[in-house]
Amino acid sequence: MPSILKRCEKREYRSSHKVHKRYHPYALVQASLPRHARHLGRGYGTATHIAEVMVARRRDDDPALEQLFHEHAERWKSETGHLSSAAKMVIHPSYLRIIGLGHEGLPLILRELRKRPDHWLIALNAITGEDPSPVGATFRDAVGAWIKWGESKGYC
Amino acid sequence: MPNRLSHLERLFPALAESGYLKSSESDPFYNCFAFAVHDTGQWWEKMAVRGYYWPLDRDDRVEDWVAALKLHNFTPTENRGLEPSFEKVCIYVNKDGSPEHVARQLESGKWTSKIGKHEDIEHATLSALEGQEYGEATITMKRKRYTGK
Repeated sequence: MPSILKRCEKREYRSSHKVHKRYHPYALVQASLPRHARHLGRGYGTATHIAEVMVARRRDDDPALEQLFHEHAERWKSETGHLSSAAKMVIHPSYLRIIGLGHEGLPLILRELRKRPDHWLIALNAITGEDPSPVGATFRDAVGAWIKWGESKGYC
Repeated sequence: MPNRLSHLERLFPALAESGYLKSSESDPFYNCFAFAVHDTGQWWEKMAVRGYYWPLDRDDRVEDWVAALKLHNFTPTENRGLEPSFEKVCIYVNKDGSPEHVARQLESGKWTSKIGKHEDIEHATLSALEGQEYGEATITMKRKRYTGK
């Protein structure tokens, strides 16, 4: 587990009378307080910490997640490679499972797309809601556009 | 058999018996429809995401495939045999009536297919790819073969 996440488990947040373990309950409480009751200094520190955690979760490799991704990716490839229709390929349970990984799966999908181009554009679009390819792009162009998009967002 | 493709033989039991030849490496950038119309720069399919090409509004029915082939001057024919001055394609339809694959006839009379994202192959007969995956070779179309003259 990334070090920032380890620190997160141990860290305790104190607001006036309560002790909040971990960041999200604290953030929820803070968000519900009226503005004048919030302490700017502590709020900033918490926000910074939350941002660090989010970045760490997004960028650090999680071996279990990576293994899960590769198992599903291999199964999907081997069982749908002969299909002429991407629409049929993407309803395979393993592909849907990969979409289900959400944003955490993005670095893995983009890395795989760069190494072995394949029909990951639908998953990327489903997860992000984005479509960075120009109108009229060929599949090859679209793969390149998604890799550039991933680089610009720090995913790969 | 040299260049034996066991992953295809598993899917298409009649393939090995009828004889086939690998004619390209795997390539995810184009599909059987693109290959049938000699456009290997694109994946021909109607998709909401950019990166796919299809000239019509729908692609999920046999009539959509027929209409797309008509745009490339193909017309339906009952004759699946070799007519040297015509290029032929044949659409495979599964038991639900959904188009699954299209193969193209070579000047030799053999057929050639791009198998999904996998390799291009030459196969002696249309029946080599018939079965559970692609269904039956059902609709044949032809157009004047381009000879360059």
